[in-house]
Amino acid sequence: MRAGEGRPLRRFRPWLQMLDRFLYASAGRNRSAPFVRDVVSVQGMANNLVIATLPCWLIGMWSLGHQSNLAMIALDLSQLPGWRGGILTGLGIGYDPGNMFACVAHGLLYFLPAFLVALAVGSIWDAIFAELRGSSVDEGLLSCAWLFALILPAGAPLYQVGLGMTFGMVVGKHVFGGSGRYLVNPAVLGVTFLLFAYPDLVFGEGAWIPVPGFTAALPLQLAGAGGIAALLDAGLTWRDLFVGMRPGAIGTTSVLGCFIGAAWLVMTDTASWRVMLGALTGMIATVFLFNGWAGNGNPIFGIPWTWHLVLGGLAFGVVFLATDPVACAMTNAGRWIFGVLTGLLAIVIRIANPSHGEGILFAILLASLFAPVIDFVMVELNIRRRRKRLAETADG
Amino acid sequence: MDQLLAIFVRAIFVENLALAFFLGMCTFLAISRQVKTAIGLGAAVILVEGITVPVNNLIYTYLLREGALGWAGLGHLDFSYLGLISYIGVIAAIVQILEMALSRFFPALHQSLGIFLPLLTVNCAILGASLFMVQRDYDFVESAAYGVGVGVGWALALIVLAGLREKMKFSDIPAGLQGLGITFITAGIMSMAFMAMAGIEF
Repeated sequence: MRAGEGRPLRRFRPWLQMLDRFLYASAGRNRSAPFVRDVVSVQGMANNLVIATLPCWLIGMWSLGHQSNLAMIALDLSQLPGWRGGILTGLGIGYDPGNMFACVAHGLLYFLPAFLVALAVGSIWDAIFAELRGSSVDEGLLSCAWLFALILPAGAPLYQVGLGMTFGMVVGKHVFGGSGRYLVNPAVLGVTFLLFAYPDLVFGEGAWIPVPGFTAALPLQLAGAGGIAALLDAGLTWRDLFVGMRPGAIGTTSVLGCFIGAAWLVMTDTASWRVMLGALTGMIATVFLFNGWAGNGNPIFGIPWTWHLVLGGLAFGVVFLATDPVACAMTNAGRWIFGVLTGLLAIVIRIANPSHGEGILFAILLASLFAPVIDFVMVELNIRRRRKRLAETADG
Repeated sequence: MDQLLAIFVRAIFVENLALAFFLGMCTFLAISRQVKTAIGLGAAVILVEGITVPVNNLIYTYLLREGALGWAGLGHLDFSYLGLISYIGVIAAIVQILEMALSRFFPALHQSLGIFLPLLTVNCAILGASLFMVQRDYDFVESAAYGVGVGVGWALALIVLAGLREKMKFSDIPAGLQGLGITFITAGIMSMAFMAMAGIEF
């Protein structure tokens, strides 16, 4: 209303709509059956997802700040160069690794720019497509930008954040008609694009703990080189990995946070528990296969599943990304298979393909592509079963 | 055995003819509207690849290659320049037989494949598989594994694309991209996802 034709705020309509969407409204209204009446709107579901990632987010920021501060002590740096250092020193927050607030603030200074750039770039594309197509802005931007920023390494340059978000939004979402109509999760597609385009994003110096002059090896890389022994040598116990004390993308460090988020998602019925359990099953089964088969003698073949669970971004991907209700399978049986496929592919790519740092994003992307075929098979089987039952009852 | 399995898996996932080499694109894009038709065409391609690659391997090994005619006392001859035309001949014959069989036993599928069934003769994925077989010096058993593998890989890509296109019924695609445009973009996304398999080591 306030931004209608000829009103002064007309020019800002898409952005005002986004605010409305976040607070209460829904983008499209169905004009024909079937209608669904529910207290939870599409936006509500997207917001639920963001709420569910909050534990991961908080622990991740603390972990990043804590490790950066420790790295600074190790390198004998008294102040971080650049604007982040200016803010931390200027506000008197300091770099004490024991001070929880200082650590979270340090981590926030890496998360916030990435998130804001992703949100701004995303909102521009949303606005452009809404204006060009004469439709209203749809839901899902906030959760998309949020997840996108959570799975990026802290050292990602902001122009790459913008590029990845652009790719995800345009090629992943808008050419298919926007939220609820895409084939693969736009955030996953955007980050995968960045991983192929800029390998330095993951493998470069300072990608994970962006303190100048400090290089942190990912736990996954350590495990790939020397198995569990290498992890323990580097001072990373299973509990450290589970709680989140390790280098990694902000969202994905804490497996504990992922479990809390999973509970919230399942409680609010936002995400499918079948996908999560399926992925866990597929992951465990595949790890057992690799454990039994010595392969090429690489130490990563022998790592048990309990460690695979806490390595890399597997837990985060399975709980928050694979369960995307649009991109995953739609039938209940199909969701199990989709989950198993995700877990299987994640472990196969992680173990057998050292050229990629992490398998879970690719696994989710591939599994989403297979989702319609899985559904097709499930529906066909169901039709066949019912036809048989019908024939039996007709006979009797 | 391990070697054969590696060739088979590699042909399906790592060096997928449709998604890594972009071979057989015309059929790939044209016959991917419905999963059911795609399954039919996929099966046909698996059959054609599974027969033509090993047969062409025999022809190459015992008739065309330099010194191949040694068994007839003509070891000094080199007919490998006749490769292309021989492979195409074999493929055309197999496809012709397949077409007759399909029109007799599966008329509905034959109808829905239309012109693209005889066009399998000049499908670059099928000729490409035979040429790769020659280039990589596969022996007979290896070329059988490779033939079935590339067929399965191509069929898999086709069926997945068809599934995605069926799902796109729920999408709201901009007017300029409807039809082939969005199919190209989807195939690109698939190809990108399959890149994750590149570099897999066993």
